[in-house]
Amino acid sequence: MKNEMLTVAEVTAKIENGDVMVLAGAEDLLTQLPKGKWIGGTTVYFVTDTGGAVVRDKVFCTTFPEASGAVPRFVDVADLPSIAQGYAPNGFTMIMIPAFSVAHSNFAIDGQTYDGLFNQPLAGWITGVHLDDLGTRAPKVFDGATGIGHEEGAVLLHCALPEGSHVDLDILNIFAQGDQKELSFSFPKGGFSAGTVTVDGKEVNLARYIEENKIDTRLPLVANYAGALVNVSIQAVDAEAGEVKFYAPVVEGVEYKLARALGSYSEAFAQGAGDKGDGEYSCNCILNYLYGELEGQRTGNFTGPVTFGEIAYILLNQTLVRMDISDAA
Amino acid sequence: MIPDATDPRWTRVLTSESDLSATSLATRILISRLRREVASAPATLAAKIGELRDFVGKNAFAVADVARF
Repeated sequence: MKNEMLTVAEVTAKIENGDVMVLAGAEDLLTQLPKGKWIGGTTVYFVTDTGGAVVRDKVFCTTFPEASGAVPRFVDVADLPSIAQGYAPNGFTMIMIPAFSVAHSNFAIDGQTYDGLFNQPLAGWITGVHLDDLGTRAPKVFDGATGIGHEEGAVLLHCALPEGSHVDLDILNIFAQGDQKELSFSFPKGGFSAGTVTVDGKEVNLARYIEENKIDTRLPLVANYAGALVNVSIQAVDAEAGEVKFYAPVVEGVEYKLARALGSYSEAFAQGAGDKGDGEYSCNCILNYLYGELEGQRTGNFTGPVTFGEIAYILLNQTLVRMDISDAA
Repeated sequence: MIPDATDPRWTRVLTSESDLSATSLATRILISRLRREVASAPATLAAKIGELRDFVGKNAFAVADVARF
């Protein structure tokens, strides 16, 4: 696997060479690319070799020379549950979904119940735009089979691997669960927003509770999925309306704990990454970029797009997703 | 080799809160969902064991995870 920042001309040459790639960049760059074995998504935020940066004139390109074949595929909202039907034997699948789309919401809520979804590694991200363009420009995904950009649905790159290859898909979450019972929350109903929540056995309105207790909403709510720490980030708190909105859905019956406060996000990533990252696929969250002030800062050896949500089987928030491929023995 | 559906490990892993940090990410996320579903509808246990066994059968890395259940 190889990560590079390339010009449109350089990416075009790779596509024409038949390279299997996932791409990230500004919409006006992705629209110029020829058809081929690739999928792409819009963002202008990246973590590069020299640190976090806004890049508008180059495309971040991850090439999979390990792949023995690849099929780009666009699915509309109705066909989202059929994601696994395109899985290549002994392969992996990359996925991109536009932020704020119906597909984004449906995948977040129902994705993990789609038939066969877990039957091979599924990694990717939610595409975005520059924050100054929110509300005026829509995030898009691009299907290399047609070269067409879409504001709705999802693009998939179903990749095949030689027999014996191994894909290691995991997350690097720099947040840990806090241990204060008054910052531990259970929701009576799942979804992207919440009113009532149970805290330490008492029902309260979450929005007012956050305001009254001056809770730092830059910290995610962290659930423990049998040892995997999964974040839900807080998008907005409206104490008057009594509603809190989230960037990913909370799940009914799951206990969430507010994350412990962090010092330097960059140092936390470097510590968590160790010597991993070189030659691996990764994406990281726009909230980590913003709250952690990652512009100009590195995240260990990991490079990749900065996104409006990360996918490792399910939608994640404020998390680095990483994937490595080992050659057949 | 994947244990038979009657192997007690399947029931144990889906009806406990045991930490599975040593297993793959896919296994942790899937089992977390299956545990919630079994807790809210215990009669679905056999079906959920079937779903978990299917997943293990399709992912070589998950076969090693079973030993950690």
